[in-house]
Amino acid sequence: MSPQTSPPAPRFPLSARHALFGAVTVVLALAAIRAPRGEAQRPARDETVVARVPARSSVEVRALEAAEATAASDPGDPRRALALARRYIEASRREGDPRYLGAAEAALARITAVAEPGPEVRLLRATILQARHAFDAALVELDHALAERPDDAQAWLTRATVWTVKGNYQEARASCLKLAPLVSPALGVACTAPIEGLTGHTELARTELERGIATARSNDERAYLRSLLGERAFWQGELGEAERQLRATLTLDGGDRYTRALLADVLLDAGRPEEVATLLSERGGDDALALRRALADLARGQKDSEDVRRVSEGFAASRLRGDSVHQREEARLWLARGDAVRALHFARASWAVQHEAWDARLLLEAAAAANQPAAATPVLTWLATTGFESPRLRSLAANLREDR
Amino acid sequence: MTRRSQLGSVLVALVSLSCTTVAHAHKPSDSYLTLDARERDPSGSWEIALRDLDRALKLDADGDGALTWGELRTREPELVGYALAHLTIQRGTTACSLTAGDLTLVEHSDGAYAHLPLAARCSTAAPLSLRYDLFFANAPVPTSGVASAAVDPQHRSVLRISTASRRDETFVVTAGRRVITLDAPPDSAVSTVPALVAQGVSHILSGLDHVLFLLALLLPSVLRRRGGDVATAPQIRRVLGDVVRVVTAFTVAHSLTLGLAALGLVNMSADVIEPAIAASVAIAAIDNLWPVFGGDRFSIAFVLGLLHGFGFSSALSDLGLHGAALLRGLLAFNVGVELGQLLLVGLFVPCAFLLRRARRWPEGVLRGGSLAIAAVALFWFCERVTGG
Repeated sequence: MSPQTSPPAPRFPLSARHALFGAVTVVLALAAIRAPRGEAQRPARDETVVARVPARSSVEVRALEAAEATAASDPGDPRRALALARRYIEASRREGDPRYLGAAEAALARITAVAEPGPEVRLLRATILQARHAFDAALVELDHALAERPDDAQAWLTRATVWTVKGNYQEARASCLKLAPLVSPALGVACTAPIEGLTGHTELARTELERGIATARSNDERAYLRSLLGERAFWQGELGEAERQLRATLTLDGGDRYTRALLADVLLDAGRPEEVATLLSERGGDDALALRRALADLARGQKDSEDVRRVSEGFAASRLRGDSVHQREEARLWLARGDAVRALHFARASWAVQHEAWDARLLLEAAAAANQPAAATPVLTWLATTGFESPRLRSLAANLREDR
Repeated sequence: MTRRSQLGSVLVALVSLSCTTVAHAHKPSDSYLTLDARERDPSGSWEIALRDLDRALKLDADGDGALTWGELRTREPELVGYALAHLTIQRGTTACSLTAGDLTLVEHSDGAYAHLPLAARCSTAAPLSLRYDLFFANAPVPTSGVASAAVDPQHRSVLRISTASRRDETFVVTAGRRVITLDAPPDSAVSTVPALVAQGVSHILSGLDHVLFLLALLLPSVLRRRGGDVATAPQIRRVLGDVVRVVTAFTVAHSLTLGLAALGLVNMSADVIEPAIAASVAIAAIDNLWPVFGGDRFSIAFVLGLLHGFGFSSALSDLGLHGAALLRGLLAFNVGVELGQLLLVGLFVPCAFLLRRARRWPEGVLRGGSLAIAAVALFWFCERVTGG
């Protein structure tokens, strides 16, 4: 638009009007081209791949289908249905895919439709409930299962985990004590070390873990304890040591998605988001990994990246269906997106059901970012009573105490 | 995920298998059912994850994990039959007949979903209820030939439904809550027409960009250009004639594009249209200060009015109307827009005409007003371009 004031010329050039017509035409054409085509559509070509589904030709899916067939051939046999449920739970762990938990639940429902649930069924139900963050219901199932079978190592371990998540370290320790005589020393350490770490005995945790690694009987055990060493170092703020331990874990077990996510957290804290993309590029599905990719994008200023959009949509869809399993992750995402008030909302909601180190950190960070130091009070109390050692959390807490 | 939920795999000494590469996040199984039940015959759509349908129907024929459109398309009738067998919509105690249109695909955060347009025919207007059994065990409807593996007690359907009395209610259908019963049926379609007219009125009056655009076009109406100078128009007839021409041009233009967009004949990106509307307001205002378009407000009103119609259409499409209801809705909404516009003109023209001889009218109002409008519009433009 040329802002020249025309001298008293009565006729203005027609070309200006033409330009206006032209501009509007261009805008309309542009708008039509840019129109969202992602709406409903039918692909033009038969070869277009429209979805990725579990490949029925793969070993994993063939094994699942065989177990399905075995269970269906004798619906009255609870062992077959149990084996099927176990397979689905394993598949869910392997792929990080909650859909398999629904299938596992369906397999268990076939048993409970005709009989009272035995301890095995209750243990698997507890595993599923724990994955859905229904911690209290999981504990009820576990206590039933253990009353019938007090030597069930997996049940004691799960019980220790759930009580740790809920922040009751006494009950968690008691479960580890029951577990210790039933398993190898290394797995005994795997149960107790995280509790020592959370309750301020971080040096004890390290020596136990190192001793555990020395006595470990398999690569799986070694990998597991090493990743716990890495996690301990992460919370201690020893990012270099954490990275070393976690990378060592991944060379032992490249498929360990939890360790991969933890390493991504280390890199994010170390301000190396570009390396997160490389670390996680080949691994898609898992929510936890997708969240780290989104956080790495946000750290690099890519606010509208594919992963940020998908993770946000996934959280929204999850809330719509009434789930609350992603509150911690959602708090993290909103914090990274700069919406402190929303982050605080989810951090509070997460703290209400679980008290792990991440929940504590997020509530402190969100309270500080939202300038609502009072919201962090429960974490300050938790830090004081547990003695949890983490320089980062200590300094966050100290600042918040001053602001209060 | 907690660290030790993984420990189970250590205990049972599971061999870790490498993950398959998937581009999407995982989530539990959901479907999305949207119904407009304001009429006797409800219509809507149903979106079901291809992943879930594949589990039930083994759609991926070659089992390679890549479901192609060809594999899906050849099974379309079966897929539609399977879905419809697990959904019952009824009014009173009589089930409505349910049909689905052509299958299309939509993307959700966890991958592609089948999108089925739904149309129900009901024989009564009694209260509506719905029974949903997809992927739930013990479905009372025939499920012959369906793998029992397709059962998922954690499946949910997010049902969004509009009825005569309540708009856009959301229910979550679960295995334990498969029947949703809704309130009384519409007494007649008339009840929605005044609501849509009101919607149209409120849209134009609350949409400040449309109001300012119209105002920018009307400001000079009581004036007459003489050379580079402006003077007041002497006769009310002249003023009215001018106003009618401008308003008609704007109305015809935006009705045209509103109709095209609302009927789905053209599909415009709001990302482009919204800043363009802001720009159009600025252009109309700037033309009052420096008449680069020859002060030809009739053309400006028409050409730029085309943009505003697309803007109106997004408000209408938010109401989610279909078929005959859409046509009637379009008319009612447009009548509302025109009424709101008329109200504005009716307030502005008499005031302006009475004040036209006031000493400061030409500069104070025309220049000041146009400058203010242009400033606001340019601010909007920047805001909308940067996505703020």
